[in-house]
Amino acid sequence: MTATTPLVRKNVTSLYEQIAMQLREEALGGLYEPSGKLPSEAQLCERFAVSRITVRLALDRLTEEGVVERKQGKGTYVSGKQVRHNLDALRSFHDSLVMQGLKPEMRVLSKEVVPLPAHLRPLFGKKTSHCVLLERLHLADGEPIAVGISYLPREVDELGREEIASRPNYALLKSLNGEGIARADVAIRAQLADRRIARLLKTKTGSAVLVMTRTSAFRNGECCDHSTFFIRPERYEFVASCTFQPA
Amino acid sequence: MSSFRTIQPSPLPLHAQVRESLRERILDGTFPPHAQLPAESELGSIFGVSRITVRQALGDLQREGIVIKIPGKGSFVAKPKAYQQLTQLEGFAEAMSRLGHTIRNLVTSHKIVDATAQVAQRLQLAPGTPVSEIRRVRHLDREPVSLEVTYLPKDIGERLRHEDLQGRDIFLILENDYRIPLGHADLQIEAVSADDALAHALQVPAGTALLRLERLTHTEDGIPLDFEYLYIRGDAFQYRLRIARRRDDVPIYNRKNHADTHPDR
Repeated sequence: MTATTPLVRKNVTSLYEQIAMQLREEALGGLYEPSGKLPSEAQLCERFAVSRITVRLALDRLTEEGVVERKQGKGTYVSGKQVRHNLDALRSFHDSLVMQGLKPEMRVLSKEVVPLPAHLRPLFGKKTSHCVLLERLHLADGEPIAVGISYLPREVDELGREEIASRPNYALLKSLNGEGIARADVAIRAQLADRRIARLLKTKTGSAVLVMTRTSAFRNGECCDHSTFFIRPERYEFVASCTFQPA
Repeated sequence: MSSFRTIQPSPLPLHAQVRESLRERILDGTFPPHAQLPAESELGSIFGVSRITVRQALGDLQREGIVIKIPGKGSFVAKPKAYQQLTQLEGFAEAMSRLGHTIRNLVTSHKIVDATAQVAQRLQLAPGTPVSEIRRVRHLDREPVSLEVTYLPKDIGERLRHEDLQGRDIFLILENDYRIPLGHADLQIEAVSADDALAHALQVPAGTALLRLERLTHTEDGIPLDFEYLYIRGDAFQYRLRIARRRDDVPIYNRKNHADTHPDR
Protein backbone atom coordinates (compact mmCIF):
# COMPACT_ATOMS: atom_id res chain seq x y z
CA MET A 1 0.00 0.00 0.00
CA THR A 2 0.98 3.61 -0.42
CA ALA A 3 3.34 5.14 2.07
CA THR A 4 1.61 8.09 3.71
CA THR A 5 3.80 10.83 5.07
CA PRO A 6 2.43 11.74 8.51
CA LEU A 7 0.49 15.01 8.34
CA VAL A 8 1.44 17.95 10.52
CA ARG A 9 -1.84 18.51 12.31
CA LYS A 10 -0.92 21.61 14.28
CA ASN A 11 -1.35 23.78 11.22
CA VAL A 12 -4.96 23.06 10.34
CA THR A 13 -5.24 25.39 7.33
CA SER A 14 -2.50 23.64 5.47
CA LEU A 15 -3.77 20.12 6.11
CA TYR A 16 -5.36 19.93 2.70
CA GLU A 17 -2.25 21.40 1.11
CA GLN A 18 -0.17 18.64 2.61
CA ILE A 19 -2.57 16.05 1.20
CA ALA A 20 -2.57 17.80 -2.17
CA MET A 21 1.21 17.76 -2.20
CA GLN A 22 1.38 14.05 -1.50
CA LEU A 23 -1.28 13.18 -4.07
CA ARG A 24 0.38 15.44 -6.63
CA GLU A 25 3.67 13.59 -6.25
CA GLU A 26 1.93 10.25 -6.53
CA ALA A 27 -0.13 11.27 -9.56
CA LEU A 28 2.79 12.76 -11.43
CA GLY A 29 5.02 9.91 -10.36
CA GLY A 30 2.78 7.43 -12.14
CA LEU A 31 1.49 5.65 -9.06
CA TYR A 32 -2.06 5.52 -10.43
CA GLU A 33 -1.11 4.05 -13.79
CA PRO A 34 -2.34 2.44 -15.92
CA SER A 35 -5.95 3.41 -15.15
CA GLY A 36 -5.06 6.94 -14.00
CA LYS A 37 -7.79 6.70 -11.38
CA LEU A 38 -7.17 8.10 -7.91
CA PRO A 39 -8.70 6.45 -4.83
CA SER A 40 -12.24 7.54 -3.97
CA GLU A 41 -12.87 10.42 -1.59
CA ALA A 42 -13.92 7.93 1.07
CA GLN A 43 -10.70 5.95 0.66
CA LEU A 44 -8.64 9.13 0.88
CA CYS A 45 -10.52 10.20 4.04
CA GLU A 46 -9.62 6.90 5.60
CA ARG A 47 -6.03 6.92 4.45
CA PHE A 48 -5.26 10.43 5.73
CA ALA A 49 -7.73 10.23 8.62
CA VAL A 50 -9.30 13.56 7.70
CA SER A 51 -12.80 14.78 6.91
CA ARG A 52 -14.29 14.64 3.44
CA ILE A 53 -14.18 18.46 3.30
CA THR A 54 -10.42 18.40 3.68
CA VAL A 55 -10.06 15.75 0.99
CA ARG A 56 -12.25 17.79 -1.34
CA LEU A 57 -10.17 20.90 -0.73
CA ALA A 58 -7.07 18.93 -1.65
CA LEU A 59 -8.66 17.56 -4.82
CA ASP A 60 -9.97 21.04 -5.69
CA ARG A 61 -6.47 22.35 -5.43
CA LEU A 62 -5.14 19.64 -7.75
CA THR A 63 -7.99 20.28 -10.20
CA GLU A 64 -7.14 24.00 -10.26
CA GLU A 65 -3.56 23.10 -10.96
CA GLY A 66 -4.70 20.82 -13.76
CA VAL A 67 -3.07 17.79 -12.17
CA VAL A 68 -6.31 15.84 -11.91
CA GLU A 69 -9.79 15.93 -13.39
CA ARG A 70 -12.90 15.08 -11.39
CA LYS A 71 -15.94 13.56 -12.98
CA GLN A 72 -19.19 12.85 -11.28
CA GLY A 73 -20.11 9.21 -11.59
CA LYS A 74 -16.57 8.41 -12.61
CA GLY A 75 -14.14 9.58 -9.96
CA THR A 76 -10.89 11.51 -10.01
CA TYR A 77 -8.34 10.93 -12.77
CA VAL A 78 -4.84 12.09 -13.52
CA SER A 79 -5.18 14.74 -16.25
CA GLY A 80 -4.00 14.46 -19.79
CA LYS A 81 -4.33 10.72 -20.02
CA GLN A 82 -7.71 10.80 -21.64
CA VAL A 83 -8.12 9.38 -25.13
CA ARG A 84 -9.95 12.06 -27.11
CA HIS A 85 -11.68 10.83 -30.21
CA ASN A 86 -12.32 13.86 -32.34
CA LEU A 87 -15.60 13.65 -34.19
CA ASP A 88 -14.88 16.64 -36.40
CA ALA A 89 -12.89 14.36 -38.68
CA LEU A 90 -13.81 10.90 -39.85
CA ARG A 91 -11.24 8.26 -39.09
CA SER A 92 -11.26 4.57 -38.49
CA PHE A 93 -11.29 3.70 -34.80
CA HIS A 94 -7.75 2.40 -35.06
CA ASP A 95 -6.48 5.56 -36.77
CA SER A 96 -8.11 7.78 -34.17
CA LEU A 97 -5.95 6.01 -31.58
CA VAL A 98 -2.86 6.47 -33.75
CA MET A 99 -3.60 10.19 -33.97
CA GLN A 100 -3.59 10.28 -30.18
CA GLY A 101 -0.03 9.09 -30.12
CA LEU A 102 -1.00 5.70 -28.70
CA LYS A 103 0.32 2.40 -29.91
CA PRO A 104 -2.86 0.63 -30.87
CA GLU A 105 -3.09 -3.04 -31.78
CA MET A 106 -5.93 -5.06 -33.23
CA ARG A 107 -6.70 -8.71 -32.62
CA VAL A 108 -9.15 -10.56 -34.79
CA LEU A 109 -11.67 -12.35 -32.59
CA SER A 110 -13.66 -13.83 -35.46
CA LYS A 111 -14.25 -13.40 -39.14
CA GLU A 112 -16.97 -15.16 -41.08
CA VAL A 113 -19.30 -14.75 -44.00
CA VAL A 114 -22.85 -14.56 -42.68
CA PRO A 115 -26.29 -13.86 -44.17
CA LEU A 116 -27.02 -10.15 -43.89
CA PRO A 117 -29.10 -9.66 -40.73
CA ALA A 118 -32.64 -8.48 -41.45
CA HIS A 119 -32.22 -5.17 -39.62
CA LEU A 120 -29.32 -4.22 -41.89
CA ARG A 121 -31.13 -4.98 -45.13
CA PRO A 122 -32.48 -1.46 -45.55
CA LEU A 123 -28.92 -0.14 -45.21
CA PHE A 124 -27.03 -2.49 -47.50
CA GLY A 125 -29.81 -2.90 -50.01
CA LYS A 126 -31.78 -5.84 -51.28
CA LYS A 127 -29.11 -7.23 -53.59
CA THR A 128 -26.75 -7.88 -50.69
CA SER A 129 -27.43 -11.35 -49.36
CA HIS A 130 -24.25 -11.99 -47.37
CA CYS A 131 -21.60 -9.94 -45.65
CA VAL A 132 -18.43 -10.37 -43.66
CA LEU A 133 -18.87 -10.22 -39.91
CA LEU A 134 -15.56 -9.15 -38.43
CA GLU A 135 -15.00 -8.88 -34.70
CA ARG A 136 -11.84 -7.31 -33.41
CA LEU A 137 -10.40 -6.37 -30.08
CA HIS A 138 -8.65 -2.99 -30.04
CA LEU A 139 -5.88 -2.44 -27.56
CA ALA A 140 -4.09 0.76 -26.65
CA ASP A 141 -0.72 0.52 -25.00
CA GLY A 142 -1.41 -3.15 -24.38
CA GLU A 143 -4.74 -2.63 -22.58
CA PRO A 144 -8.10 -3.58 -24.13
CA ILE A 145 -9.95 -0.42 -25.05
CA ALA A 146 -12.73 -1.51 -27.40
CA VAL A 147 -14.47 -4.37 -29.13
CA GLY A 148 -15.44 -3.62 -32.72
CA ILE A 149 -18.15 -5.65 -34.44
CA SER A 150 -18.37 -4.84 -38.14
CA TYR A 151 -20.53 -5.89 -41.05
CA LEU A 152 -18.57 -5.32 -44.24
CA PRO A 153 -19.10 -6.16 -47.92
CA ARG A 154 -18.57 -9.81 -48.72
CA GLU A 155 -15.62 -8.97 -51.00
CA VAL A 156 -13.59 -8.15 -47.88
CA ASP A 157 -13.35 -11.92 -47.38
CA GLU A 158 -11.16 -12.14 -50.46
CA LEU A 159 -8.50 -9.87 -48.99
CA GLY A 160 -5.49 -11.56 -47.44
CA ARG A 161 -5.64 -12.87 -43.91
CA GLU A 162 -2.78 -10.66 -42.84
CA GLU A 163 -4.32 -7.58 -44.37
CA ILE A 164 -7.57 -8.19 -42.52
CA ALA A 165 -5.71 -8.78 -39.29
CA SER A 166 -3.57 -5.69 -39.45
CA ARG A 167 -5.53 -2.96 -41.20
CA PRO A 168 -8.44 -0.82 -40.04
CA ASN A 169 -11.86 -1.19 -41.68
CA TYR A 170 -11.50 1.97 -43.71
CA ALA A 171 -8.20 0.76 -45.17
CA LEU A 172 -9.82 -2.58 -46.08
CA LEU A 173 -12.71 -0.79 -47.75
CA LYS A 174 -10.28 1.35 -49.68
CA SER A 175 -8.64 -1.83 -50.94
CA LEU A 176 -11.96 -2.87 -52.43
CA ASN A 177 -12.47 0.02 -54.84
CA GLY A 178 -9.36 2.15 -54.47
CA GLU A 179 -11.45 5.05 -53.33
CA GLY A 180 -12.63 4.32 -49.84
CA ILE A 181 -15.49 5.71 -47.85
CA ALA A 182 -16.94 9.17 -48.31
CA ARG A 183 -18.96 9.71 -45.17
CA ALA A 184 -20.44 8.09 -42.11
CA ASP A 185 -23.35 8.48 -39.80
CA VAL A 186 -22.29 8.09 -36.22
CA ALA A 187 -24.39 7.55 -33.12
CA ILE A 188 -23.05 7.50 -29.58
CA ARG A 189 -24.79 6.08 -26.59
CA ALA A 190 -24.09 4.49 -23.22
CA GLN A 191 -25.10 1.04 -22.12
CA LEU A 192 -24.17 -1.66 -19.65
CA ALA A 193 -21.60 -4.24 -20.66
CA ASP A 194 -22.94 -7.75 -21.12
CA ARG A 195 -20.85 -10.72 -20.01
CA ARG A 196 -19.02 -11.24 -23.26
CA ILE A 197 -18.12 -7.59 -23.81
CA ALA A 198 -17.11 -7.24 -20.16
CA ARG A 199 -14.86 -10.28 -20.40
CA LEU A 200 -13.16 -9.01 -23.56
CA LEU A 201 -12.69 -5.53 -22.15
CA LYS A 202 -11.54 -6.88 -18.78
CA THR A 203 -14.21 -4.91 -17.00
CA LYS A 204 -17.17 -5.85 -14.81
CA THR A 205 -20.42 -7.17 -16.28
CA GLY A 206 -23.00 -4.42 -15.86
CA SER A 207 -20.49 -1.57 -15.89
CA ALA A 208 -21.13 1.34 -18.23
CA VAL A 209 -19.56 1.24 -21.67
CA LEU A 210 -19.53 3.86 -24.38
CA VAL A 211 -21.06 2.60 -27.60
CA MET A 212 -20.41 4.05 -31.03
CA THR A 213 -22.45 2.82 -33.97
CA ARG A 214 -21.19 3.83 -37.35
CA THR A 215 -22.65 3.40 -40.81
CA SER A 216 -20.30 4.34 -43.61
CA ALA A 217 -20.96 4.85 -47.29
CA PHE A 218 -18.93 4.95 -50.45
CA ARG A 219 -19.12 8.03 -52.66
CA ASN A 220 -22.03 6.57 -54.59
CA GLY A 221 -24.05 6.38 -51.38
CA GLU A 222 -23.73 2.59 -51.09
CA CYS A 223 -23.47 1.43 -47.49
CA CYS A 224 -20.21 -0.47 -46.94
CA ASP A 225 -19.72 -0.65 -43.19
CA HIS A 226 -21.99 -1.03 -40.21
CA SER A 227 -19.87 -1.17 -37.09
CA THR A 228 -20.52 -1.08 -33.39
CA PHE A 229 -17.69 -0.28 -31.00
CA PHE A 230 -18.02 -1.08 -27.32
CA ILE A 231 -15.53 1.15 -25.59
CA ARG A 232 -14.13 1.13 -22.07
CA PRO A 233 -15.24 4.52 -20.83
CA GLU A 234 -12.74 5.30 -18.07
CA ARG A 235 -10.35 7.31 -20.16
CA TYR A 236 -12.15 7.65 -23.42
CA GLU A 237 -14.21 10.56 -24.59
CA PHE A 238 -15.53 11.90 -27.84
CA VAL A 239 -14.99 15.56 -28.57
CA ALA A 240 -16.65 17.74 -31.15
CA SER A 241 -16.90 21.38 -31.99
CA CYS A 242 -20.21 22.76 -33.16
CA THR A 243 -21.65 26.06 -34.22
CA PHE A 244 -24.78 27.39 -32.66
CA GLN A 245 -27.76 27.42 -34.94
CA PRO A 246 -31.17 28.43 -33.64
CA ALA A 247 -33.87 26.00 -34.66
CA MET B 1 -17.54 22.76 -61.75
CA SER B 2 -15.10 20.07 -62.74
CA SER B 3 -15.10 19.01 -59.10
CA PHE B 4 -18.19 16.90 -59.68
CA ARG B 5 -17.57 13.35 -60.70
CA THR B 6 -19.53 12.27 -63.72
CA ILE B 7 -22.53 10.05 -63.32
CA GLN B 8 -21.52 6.48 -64.00
CA PRO B 9 -23.49 3.32 -64.64
CA SER B 10 -24.90 2.41 -61.25
CA PRO B 11 -27.94 0.68 -59.84
CA LEU B 12 -28.78 3.89 -57.97
CA PRO B 13 -31.46 6.11 -59.53
CA LEU B 14 -30.06 9.17 -61.30
CA HIS B 15 -31.51 11.68 -58.87
CA ALA B 16 -29.93 9.79 -55.94
CA GLN B 17 -26.54 9.92 -57.65
CA VAL B 18 -26.89 13.64 -58.26
CA ARG B 19 -28.03 14.11 -54.67
CA GLU B 20 -25.06 12.18 -53.26
CA SER B 21 -22.63 14.03 -55.48
CA LEU B 22 -24.01 17.37 -54.31
CA ARG B 23 -24.02 16.23 -50.71
CA GLU B 24 -20.40 15.28 -50.95
CA ARG B 25 -19.36 18.67 -52.34
CA ILE B 26 -21.35 20.40 -49.58
CA LEU B 27 -19.91 18.25 -46.81
CA ASP B 28 -16.35 18.58 -48.06
CA GLY B 29 -16.65 22.36 -48.14
CA THR B 30 -16.54 22.91 -51.91
CA PHE B 31 -19.83 24.67 -51.30
CA PRO B 32 -19.54 26.22 -47.82
CA PRO B 33 -22.55 27.32 -45.74
CA HIS B 34 -24.52 30.11 -47.45
CA ALA B 35 -22.89 29.43 -50.83
CA GLN B 36 -25.19 29.44 -53.81
CA LEU B 37 -25.38 26.21 -55.77
CA PRO B 38 -25.23 26.31 -59.57
CA ALA B 39 -28.61 26.88 -61.25
CA GLU B 40 -30.78 23.84 -61.93
CA SER B 41 -30.15 24.10 -65.67
CA GLU B 42 -26.41 24.31 -65.10
CA LEU B 43 -26.43 21.28 -62.79
CA GLY B 44 -28.46 19.46 -65.40
CA SER B 45 -25.79 19.98 -68.02
CA ILE B 46 -22.92 19.23 -65.60
CA PHE B 47 -24.42 15.86 -64.71
CA GLY B 48 -26.01 15.25 -68.06
CA VAL B 49 -29.44 14.71 -66.55
CA SER B 50 -32.81 16.38 -66.93
CA ARG B 51 -33.89 19.36 -64.91
CA ILE B 52 -36.57 17.23 -63.25
CA THR B 53 -33.88 14.90 -61.95
CA VAL B 54 -31.88 17.84 -60.58
CA ARG B 55 -34.98 19.23 -58.95
CA GLN B 56 -35.69 15.89 -57.31
CA ALA B 57 -32.14 15.72 -55.94
CA LEU B 58 -32.32 19.27 -54.58
CA GLY B 59 -35.74 18.54 -53.12
CA ASP B 60 -34.29 15.60 -51.15
CA LEU B 61 -31.47 17.77 -49.81
CA GLN B 62 -33.94 20.49 -48.95
CA ARG B 63 -36.04 18.06 -46.93
CA GLU B 64 -32.92 16.98 -45.08
CA GLY B 65 -32.25 20.62 -44.25
CA ILE B 66 -28.94 20.69 -46.10
CA VAL B 67 -30.10 23.02 -48.86
CA ILE B 68 -32.45 26.01 -48.74
CA LYS B 69 -34.38 27.01 -51.85
CA ILE B 70 -35.22 30.66 -52.17
CA PRO B 71 -37.82 31.25 -54.89
CA GLY B 72 -36.48 33.44 -57.67
CA LYS B 73 -32.94 33.30 -56.29
CA GLY B 74 -31.82 29.71 -56.34
CA SER B 75 -30.54 27.05 -53.95
CA PHE B 76 -28.19 27.81 -51.09
CA VAL B 77 -26.24 25.65 -48.64
CA ALA B 78 -27.87 25.80 -45.22
CA LYS B 79 -25.87 26.75 -42.16
CA PRO B 80 -24.85 23.51 -40.44
CA LYS B 81 -27.53 22.45 -38.00
CA ALA B 82 -25.06 21.87 -35.24
CA TYR B 83 -27.40 22.92 -32.50
CA GLN B 84 -29.86 20.35 -33.68
CA GLN B 85 -27.07 17.86 -33.94
CA LEU B 86 -25.99 18.68 -30.43
CA THR B 87 -29.39 17.98 -29.07
CA GLN B 88 -30.41 15.50 -31.67
CA LEU B 89 -30.75 12.79 -29.14
CA GLU B 90 -32.62 10.01 -30.74
CA GLY B 91 -36.12 9.68 -29.48
CA PHE B 92 -36.25 13.21 -28.25
CA ALA B 93 -36.82 15.28 -31.35
CA GLU B 94 -38.74 12.46 -32.93
CA ALA B 95 -40.96 12.06 -29.94
CA MET B 96 -41.64 15.75 -29.88
CA SER B 97 -42.44 16.25 -33.49
CA ARG B 98 -44.00 12.96 -34.55
CA LEU B 99 -45.53 11.43 -31.50
CA GLY B 100 -46.74 14.57 -29.81
CA HIS B 101 -45.01 13.89 -26.51
CA THR B 102 -44.58 16.69 -24.07
CA ILE B 103 -41.21 17.95 -22.89
CA ARG B 104 -40.88 19.80 -19.62
CA ASN B 105 -37.83 21.06 -17.77
CA LEU B 106 -38.19 20.85 -14.03
CA VAL B 107 -35.91 23.43 -12.39
CA THR B 108 -34.69 21.66 -9.26
CA SER B 109 -32.40 24.46 -8.12
CA HIS B 110 -31.31 27.89 -9.25
CA LYS B 111 -28.67 29.48 -7.08
CA ILE B 112 -25.39 31.32 -6.85
CA VAL B 113 -22.41 29.12 -6.03
CA ASP B 114 -18.66 29.55 -5.89
CA ALA B 115 -17.19 28.31 -9.15
CA THR B 116 -15.41 24.98 -8.72
CA ALA B 117 -11.96 24.70 -10.21
CA GLN B 118 -13.26 23.14 -13.40
CA VAL B 119 -16.16 25.54 -13.89
CA ALA B 120 -13.85 28.49 -13.27
CA GLN B 121 -11.28 27.18 -15.71
CA ARG B 122 -13.86 26.65 -18.46
CA LEU B 123 -15.53 30.03 -17.99
CA GLN B 124 -12.13 31.71 -17.59
CA LEU B 125 -12.85 33.02 -14.11
CA ALA B 126 -10.86 32.88 -10.88
CA PRO B 127 -11.79 29.82 -8.82
CA GLY B 128 -14.39 30.70 -6.22
CA THR B 129 -15.94 33.48 -8.32
CA PRO B 130 -19.71 33.48 -7.69
CA VAL B 131 -21.56 32.01 -10.68
CA SER B 132 -25.16 30.96 -11.31
CA GLU B 133 -25.91 27.27 -11.22
CA ILE B 134 -29.19 26.06 -12.69
CA ARG B 135 -30.14 22.41 -12.33
CA ARG B 136 -32.91 21.13 -14.50
CA VAL B 137 -34.33 17.69 -15.03
CA ARG B 138 -35.73 17.28 -18.50
CA HIS B 139 -38.88 15.21 -18.59
CA LEU B 140 -40.36 13.46 -21.55
CA ASP B 141 -43.99 12.71 -20.75
CA ARG B 142 -43.31 13.07 -17.05
CA GLU B 143 -40.42 10.64 -17.24
CA PRO B 144 -37.02 12.13 -16.36
CA VAL B 145 -34.53 11.63 -19.17
CA SER B 146 -31.68 14.03 -18.49
CA LEU B 147 -30.16 16.17 -15.78
CA GLU B 148 -28.67 19.41 -17.01
CA VAL B 149 -26.44 21.49 -14.78
CA THR B 150 -25.73 24.90 -16.28
CA TYR B 151 -23.18 27.48 -15.13
CA LEU B 152 -23.49 31.08 -16.26
CA PRO B 153 -22.13 34.47 -15.21
CA LYS B 154 -24.03 35.61 -12.14
CA ASP B 155 -25.85 38.57 -13.69
CA ILE B 156 -27.20 36.51 -16.58
CA GLY B 157 -28.17 33.69 -14.23
CA GLU B 158 -30.08 36.09 -11.99
CA ARG B 159 -31.87 37.58 -14.96
CA LEU B 160 -32.96 34.10 -16.04
CA ARG B 161 -34.99 33.78 -12.82
CA HIS B 162 -37.70 35.78 -14.54
CA GLU B 163 -37.87 33.50 -17.55
CA ASP B 164 -39.87 30.41 -18.38
CA LEU B 165 -37.09 27.89 -17.88
CA GLN B 166 -39.62 25.07 -17.69
CA GLY B 167 -40.67 25.47 -21.25
CA ARG B 168 -37.84 27.28 -22.99
CA ASP B 169 -34.27 26.58 -23.85
CA ILE B 170 -31.65 28.79 -22.20
CA PHE B 171 -29.81 29.17 -25.51
CA LEU B 172 -32.85 30.62 -27.18
CA ILE B 173 -33.48 33.06 -24.34
CA LEU B 174 -29.87 34.25 -24.55
CA GLU B 175 -30.03 34.71 -28.30
CA ASN B 176 -33.54 35.96 -28.89
CA ASP B 177 -34.39 37.85 -25.72
CA TYR B 178 -31.00 38.99 -24.43
CA ARG B 179 -29.50 39.55 -27.87
CA ILE B 180 -26.31 37.69 -27.04
CA PRO B 181 -25.22 36.08 -30.31
CA LEU B 182 -23.80 32.63 -29.67
CA GLY B 183 -20.87 31.15 -31.53
CA HIS B 184 -19.33 27.73 -31.29
CA ALA B 185 -19.60 25.07 -28.63
CA ASP B 186 -17.04 22.50 -27.58
CA LEU B 187 -18.42 19.18 -26.59
CA GLN B 188 -17.13 16.14 -24.77
CA ILE B 189 -19.09 12.93 -24.62
CA GLU B 190 -18.41 10.12 -22.19
CA ALA B 191 -20.18 7.24 -20.52
CA VAL B 192 -20.54 7.03 -16.73
CA SER B 193 -22.42 4.91 -14.23
CA ALA B 194 -25.09 6.72 -12.26
CA ASP B 195 -23.97 7.36 -8.69
CA ASP B 196 -26.62 7.69 -5.98
CA ALA B 197 -27.24 11.39 -6.60
CA LEU B 198 -27.61 10.99 -10.36
CA ALA B 199 -29.71 7.87 -9.96
CA HIS B 200 -32.04 9.74 -7.64
CA ALA B 201 -32.35 12.74 -9.96
CA LEU B 202 -33.14 10.61 -12.98
CA GLN B 203 -35.14 7.99 -11.06
CA VAL B 204 -33.07 5.09 -12.33
CA PRO B 205 -31.23 2.37 -10.40
CA ALA B 206 -27.73 3.29 -9.27
CA GLY B 207 -25.17 2.00 -11.75
CA THR B 208 -27.33 2.69 -14.80
CA ALA B 209 -25.27 3.66 -17.84
CA LEU B 210 -25.51 7.37 -18.61
CA LEU B 211 -24.09 9.55 -21.33
CA ARG B 212 -22.24 12.46 -19.84
CA LEU B 213 -21.76 15.56 -21.96
CA GLU B 214 -19.71 18.59 -21.14
CA ARG B 215 -20.62 21.51 -23.32
CA LEU B 216 -18.97 24.90 -23.33
CA THR B 217 -20.81 27.43 -25.46
CA HIS B 218 -19.09 30.63 -26.51
CA THR B 219 -20.48 33.96 -27.64
CA GLU B 220 -19.97 34.94 -31.23
CA ASP B 221 -16.88 36.84 -30.06
CA GLY B 222 -15.42 33.64 -28.66
CA ILE B 223 -15.99 34.40 -24.98
CA PRO B 224 -17.02 31.32 -22.96
CA LEU B 225 -20.50 31.96 -21.63
CA ASP B 226 -22.41 28.83 -20.76
CA PHE B 227 -20.88 25.68 -19.33
CA GLU B 228 -23.02 22.61 -18.83
CA TYR B 229 -22.89 19.08 -17.61
CA LEU B 230 -25.57 16.92 -19.16
CA TYR B 231 -26.34 13.50 -17.78
CA ILE B 232 -28.53 11.59 -20.17
CA ARG B 233 -30.13 8.20 -19.71
CA GLY B 234 -28.18 5.90 -21.98
CA ASP B 235 -31.20 3.71 -22.63
CA ALA B 236 -33.23 6.66 -23.80
CA PHE B 237 -31.03 8.68 -26.11
CA GLN B 238 -28.11 8.78 -28.38
CA TYR B 239 -26.08 11.53 -29.92
CA ARG B 240 -25.97 11.45 -33.69
CA LEU B 241 -23.99 13.13 -36.37
CA ARG B 242 -22.80 12.75 -39.91
CA ILE B 243 -19.15 13.15 -40.80
CA ALA B 244 -17.61 13.48 -44.26
CA ARG B 245 -14.21 12.02 -44.94
CA ARG B 246 -11.47 14.38 -46.01
CA ARG B 247 -8.11 13.40 -47.32
CA ASP B 248 -6.24 14.79 -44.35
CA ASP B 249 -8.27 12.61 -42.00
CA VAL B 250 -6.10 9.67 -42.99
CA PRO B 251 -2.92 9.37 -40.96
CA ILE B 252 0.17 9.72 -43.09
CA TYR B 253 1.29 6.15 -42.52
CA ASN B 254 -1.90 4.91 -44.06
CA ARG B 255 -1.74 7.13 -47.10
CA LYS B 256 1.69 5.76 -47.76
CA ASN B 257 0.46 2.21 -47.36
CA HIS B 258 -2.28 2.80 -49.85
CA ALA B 259 0.13 4.20 -52.39
CA ASP B 260 2.45 1.27 -51.86
CA THR B 261 -0.03 -1.52 -51.86
CA HIS B 262 -2.77 -0.49 -54.17
CA PRO B 263 -1.07 -1.03 -57.54
CA ASP B 264 -0.51 -4.67 -56.63
CA ARG B 265 -4.20 -5.34 -56.74
